[in-house]
Amino acid sequence: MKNDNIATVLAREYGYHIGIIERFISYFGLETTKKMLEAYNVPLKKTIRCNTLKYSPQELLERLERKGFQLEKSPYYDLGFVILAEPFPLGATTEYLLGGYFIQSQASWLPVLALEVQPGEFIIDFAAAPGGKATHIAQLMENQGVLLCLEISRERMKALRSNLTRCGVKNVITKRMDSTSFWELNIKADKILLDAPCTGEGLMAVDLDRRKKSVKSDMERLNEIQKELFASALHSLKKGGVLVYSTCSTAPEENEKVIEWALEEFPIEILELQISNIAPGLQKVVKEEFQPAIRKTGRLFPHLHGTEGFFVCKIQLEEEID
Amino acid sequence: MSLVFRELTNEEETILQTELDYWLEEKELLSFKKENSFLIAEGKWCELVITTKNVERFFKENAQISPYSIGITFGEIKNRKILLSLGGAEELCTISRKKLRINETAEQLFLYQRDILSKSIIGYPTHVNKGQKILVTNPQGDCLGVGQLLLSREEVARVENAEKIAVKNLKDLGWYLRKGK
Repeated sequence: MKNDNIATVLAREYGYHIGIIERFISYFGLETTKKMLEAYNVPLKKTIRCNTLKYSPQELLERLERKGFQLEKSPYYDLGFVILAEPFPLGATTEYLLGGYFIQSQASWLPVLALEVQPGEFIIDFAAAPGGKATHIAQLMENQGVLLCLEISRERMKALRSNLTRCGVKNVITKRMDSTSFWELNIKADKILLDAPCTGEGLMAVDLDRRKKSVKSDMERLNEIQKELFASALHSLKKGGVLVYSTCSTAPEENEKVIEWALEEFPIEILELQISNIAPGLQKVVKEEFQPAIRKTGRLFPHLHGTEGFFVCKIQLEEEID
Repeated sequence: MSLVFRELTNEEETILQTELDYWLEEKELLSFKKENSFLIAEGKWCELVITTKNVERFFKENAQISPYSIGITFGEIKNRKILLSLGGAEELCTISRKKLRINETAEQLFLYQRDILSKSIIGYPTHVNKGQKILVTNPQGDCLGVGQLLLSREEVARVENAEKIAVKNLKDLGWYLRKGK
C-alpha cells in the first residue's frame, strides 16, 4: 500500500486529521508513526514534583501514603513521583494547598533540569504561566537570587501568581508583557527558560481534540512567534548566559528548524544536555539535513519514554548581543 | 489597574511593626525582619508584599520593569491595620507561638470555610485572649489559615462547651481551590 493510502487508513483508525499523519510519516517513517499513534492511545501516568521549599521527598511520600495515595519514585527525577492510586483528587489535599507539590508531567521537568539552576542566579522565565516550571526553578534557586516571570495573558497571570504564592516563592517578580519585546528593557540575565508557545503536537495523548485539527496555519503563525521570542531571549542574556528552549511538540518546524535558524543568525553554541535516556534531535527531515550540533538537542517520544512528545535544547550565548 | 510598588512610609512601617509585635517574640521578630524585605503595592488596595533583599535591590536598580507582582502578598493595609493574607500567615507560622492546633476532622471542615468547634482543638496557645487572632494549624503544624478566638482557653476546656464554636474562620487555605485558580 502506498504511504498516502496508509495515511488515510491510519487517520481513520486512530481518529486523526490526515495532514498530521502524513507529516508524522514523512518526518519519522511509517513504523515509528504507528508506534507513536499506539502510544498516544495510552493515557499518561499522573505525576507530581515535590516542592522542596516545603517538604523533603520522603516527608511528602509518607504524608500522601498516610492519606491512601500510592506513589512510586519517578525513574527520571528524584523529586518526582508517579501516582499509582488516587483515593481522592490530588489537587484537594492539604499538602497540595500548602504548595508541597505540583501536578506536572514528567516531560515538564526536563527544561528546568537542563537549565542547571544555581541559587543566587538571575533567571527569566519567558512564558511563565501557569507556573509549573517557574515554581520548579524557584525551588532549585532555594528562594535566593532573582526569578523574573513574564507572561502575556492577564487571565493566566492570576494562576501564575496563585501558584507562586502557594509554593512559597518569595524571590520573584512577575511582569505582564509580550516577551518578544523584553529585550528593549536592556536587562541581561544569567539564564532564560523559553518554553515556547507551540502547536502542542506532542500532547495527542491528553488533548484528543488536537488530533482532528490541521496544524498548518497555526504552525506558520507560531513559528514566527517562536523565532521572535528566541531572538528577544538571546538579546536579554549576558555573555556566556544560557538559554533553554523547549516545546511540547514533535514537529521539527518548531524544534530543530528553529535551532538551525538560530545557529545561522546568532553567536551561540549548543550545549550537551546532562540528561540520561533522552533521544537526540533529528539530523535529517525529509531532504533537509541539519548541522551536526543539532544532535545535542533532545527529544522525548511517547513510544520510547512513556511521556508526551517533547523537545529541549540548551544554548550558550558566546558574545553579548546589543 | 496596574500596581505601583514603593517603599513603606513611616506610618506603614509602624503598622507593620505593630502587626509583627503581635505575632512574634523579640528574637524571632529581629531575624524575620533581617531575612525579608517589605514593599507596598499600591493600586485599588494597599497591599504589603514580602520578598527577599536581593529582589528588592534588583527592583530598585531596574525600575523600568513595572512589575505585576513582587514576592508574596503579606497582607492588605486597611484602616491602619494589616489583614493577613494566606501567604503572610504561612510566613509567620513557623516562628509565631500564636498557633492553635486542630484535629484532622476539623482540618477538612476548616478548609471548607467552616468555623472550629471547641472539641476539635488539640492545642491552645498561651498569651492570647478571646477576640484575638491566631494562626490555625493541623496536627502536623501546617498553617491552614487565620482564625479569631471566640472562647478562652478555660472555656474550651469545659466539657459543656464541646459543641460550641471556639474559633471563627477568617481565612483558610481552601481559598486556593475556591478562587486561586
